[in-house]
Amino acid sequence: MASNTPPSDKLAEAKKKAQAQVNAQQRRALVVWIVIGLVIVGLFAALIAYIVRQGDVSNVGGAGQSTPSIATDNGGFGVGASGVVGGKDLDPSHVRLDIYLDFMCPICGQFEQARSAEIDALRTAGTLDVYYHPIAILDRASQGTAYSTRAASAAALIAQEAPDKFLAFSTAMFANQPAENSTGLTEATIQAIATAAGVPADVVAKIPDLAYTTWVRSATEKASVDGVAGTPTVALNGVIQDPSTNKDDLNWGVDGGITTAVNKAAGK
Amino acid sequence: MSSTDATDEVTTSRGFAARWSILQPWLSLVVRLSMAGILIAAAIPKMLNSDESVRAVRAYRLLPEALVPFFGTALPYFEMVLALVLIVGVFTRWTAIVWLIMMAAFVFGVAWAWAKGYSIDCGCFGGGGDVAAGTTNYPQHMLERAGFVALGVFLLVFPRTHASLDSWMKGEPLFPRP
Repeated sequence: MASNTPPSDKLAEAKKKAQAQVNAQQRRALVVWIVIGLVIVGLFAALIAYIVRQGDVSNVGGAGQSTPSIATDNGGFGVGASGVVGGKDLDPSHVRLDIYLDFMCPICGQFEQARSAEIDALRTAGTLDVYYHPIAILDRASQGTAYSTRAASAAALIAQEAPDKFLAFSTAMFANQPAENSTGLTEATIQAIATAAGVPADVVAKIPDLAYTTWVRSATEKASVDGVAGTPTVALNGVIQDPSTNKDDLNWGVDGGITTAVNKAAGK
Repeated sequence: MSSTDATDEVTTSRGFAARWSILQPWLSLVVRLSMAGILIAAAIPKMLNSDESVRAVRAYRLLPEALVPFFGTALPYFEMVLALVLIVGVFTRWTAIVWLIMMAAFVFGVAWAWAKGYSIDCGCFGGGGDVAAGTTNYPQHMLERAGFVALGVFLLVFPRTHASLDSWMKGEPLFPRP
């Protein structure tokens, strides 16, 4: 008979245990909802970031922003034998070389130093049309001043408004290239470089407006989609050259590599 | 003599088990918070420069272009959510599994790029995408990954940690009573 009525302390203990279990279950349910909420908030934040970025990156122009109409659809400034961007001497029958460069990239500076004479010779001979793509992939390497974007914006401005001075400006920018991870050049210094390169004063005055930065961003994204995975990258007749995986590709790392590949493409 | 030795051994191993049971939740706490720290360090630069993150994802040439921008933008947010879950210490074992799946995907990506001979930086902590040939650091990178995997495995095997929502849910104290 005693077994039918357990001692009251045993009952209390069982009650306490049951209560603790209920509490634990409630806490668990609360935590599950908090975690689900967190995941949903994260998902929404990611979606918003994605939508905003998609809008931004394809939205060239906007307040105070311009598009260089002289650029090709893939963001290149074409230069033929005359050395003028968008000149009448550009000819689809010429061999086409697209050069993707970032004004902050040290190897682009070396490329310019080592290979510009070779490229210029092929270009002035009328064999080669060169399309320069100033892009900005090294904005992180200028202590927050986004030098790559600023420099590319200045280059786009000069290509558009002083097309005969683009090459001289680009060469001078590499001759005065700042060290990677420095703050880059100030707008005033870029203006001085442009003036020295012969850019007219009214165009020089517009450099600090940074009117081409959204275009630079969009052109950089376009280059990335087109397969440009770094700078300098060269594309011969529209095909990106990578001699490390394809040994027949143009190899600018060796002397005369560009000339050999261009002459071959020209059927010479 | 031999019987004494045996007794000693038993006491020692019991001592170890006892000490381990005290130490393990603390060790797991350190591992849990380190993993959260690693994720936050990886997420913030990518959030601040989503273009770069997208380019880094694209450089692996693994995903179709239609998915690349979303993946590149969303990845740091996913990392951040996982970091927050780790900080509060909830469903720790599951979180460790998610971490390990993520690491497996990253290791696969890097191994793929390495095998294909792409000259890319992993972009794991922002940046990335593009480096000059010869400056890739695949071996060091794999070593770093191995360390991250070890952290995840430890937490998978020993998910019980101090100061976790897991113990709060069970009605246990957040810290051992002195």
